[in-house]
Amino acid sequence: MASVCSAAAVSLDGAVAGATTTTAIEDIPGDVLSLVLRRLDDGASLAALGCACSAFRELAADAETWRGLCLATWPSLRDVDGLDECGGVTGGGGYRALFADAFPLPAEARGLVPSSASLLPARLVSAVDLHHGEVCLMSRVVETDASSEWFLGSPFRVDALVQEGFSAPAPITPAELTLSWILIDPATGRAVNASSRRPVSVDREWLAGETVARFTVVLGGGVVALDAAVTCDDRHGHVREVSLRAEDGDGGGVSGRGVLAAVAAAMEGARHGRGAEAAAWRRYEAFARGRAARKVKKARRDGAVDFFCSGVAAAAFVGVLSTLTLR
Amino acid sequence: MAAAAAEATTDGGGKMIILISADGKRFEVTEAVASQSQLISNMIEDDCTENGVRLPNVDGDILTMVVDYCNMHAGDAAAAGDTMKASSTEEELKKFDAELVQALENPVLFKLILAANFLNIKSLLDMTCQRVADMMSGKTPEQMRETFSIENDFTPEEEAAIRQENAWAFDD
Repeated sequence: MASVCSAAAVSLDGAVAGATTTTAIEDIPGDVLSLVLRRLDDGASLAALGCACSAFRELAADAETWRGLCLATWPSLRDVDGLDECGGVTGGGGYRALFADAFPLPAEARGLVPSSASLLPARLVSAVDLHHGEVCLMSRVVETDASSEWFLGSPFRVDALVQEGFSAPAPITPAELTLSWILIDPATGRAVNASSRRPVSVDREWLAGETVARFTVVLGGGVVALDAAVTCDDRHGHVREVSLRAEDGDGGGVSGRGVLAAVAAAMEGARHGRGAEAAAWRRYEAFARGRAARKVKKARRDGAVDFFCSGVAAAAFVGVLSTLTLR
Repeated sequence: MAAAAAEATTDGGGKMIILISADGKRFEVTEAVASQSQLISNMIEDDCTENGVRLPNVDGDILTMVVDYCNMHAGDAAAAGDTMKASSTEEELKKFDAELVQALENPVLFKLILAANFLNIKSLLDMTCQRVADMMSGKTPEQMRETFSIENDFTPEEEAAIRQENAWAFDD
């Protein structure tokens, strides 16, 4: 018993350090600081801390901390097979690289062609998380075989939830939904954010009795918009459909090949910084305005053609009538 | 708070323990209160506490806070009826905790973390770590350095490379 006591006394006396002088954050042992870092709930702060000095750079590179952050941000990642391995592919960056890839919004890419020799992803993993306020409504992983001719040729569409409809704990207000949809190329471990997180538009469709919240992100220099949408049932207040489609500047669909090229370019391209939501919003507005303007122009052109055709027809009719009467 | 009684006696329930800070201040607390510290709890089990527990790396000011905290939270840990204080309501505790860490200057907060870590009081360590994490939240590298008086020890090249890598997190 005595030996235990003396051992305890030694350990107490042995730890005298920095008690009298003023205490700085550097005096806190690394294992305690990593407890602090694991309590950070946003990756941006963790990344910024890593830029403060070399000691924090090492602490902020901790793989387990980033893994926790990724899984907290995207609960669906738990269901992605082999993510630990594919995350390791990205230059050893692992979950930290995944977060840096998938959390910020993609910046305006210059072109549609990915730099590395037109190698399009052969498989595309969608990790989808839908929240209503603080409540997680749905976490799903959808794998898409992106190599088939059928996929490449037909209009791009991925469904995370089709006509199932599940009840939320409370009736849903579509404007309060937040949707995270990240696309991962399992071969390279690269990822991109395909959702604006907060809805860019909420439209009520009276006839169908549903409300559609859109989470559009514009890629590829404003040429392709990834159009993630959540369809809610008005009567029962539940979610009916969660899907990702793509639109070109004229409001038409985009083939799987076109979307893959834009997505691959966005994966390799730069990411937006802090003011991203505002910038992405402006980009979406510009896209929507362009689409609307082109629609108006098209309508006007169509109108002119219609008018011309009817004019010609009327003239022909009058001509025929007059020849008949004159004869 | 600083009881000068040399001999700890049983007083209204649990056995008393004397804690002695680095600058010689003495605190008399019940076993139930003290044993929230895993370190002291182990010492109590080993019967090493008769002559008081010397805590040479915890200042009196810090130990005052720790003892206050433990007194407030004794209700959680101790068996019912064992504590002198009626266990405080949860709301009161939350308010007390928030007030305890909210107003602290950085050096004091860090000392409290070191003390909580050394004494192994998990709930106090959690709470103080959370406070530091909250202070870090949403800051740029420059603001981090300013808030925590961190010296930038990168070379300009290193810093440029690191900033480039993490530009998404703070650049506009």
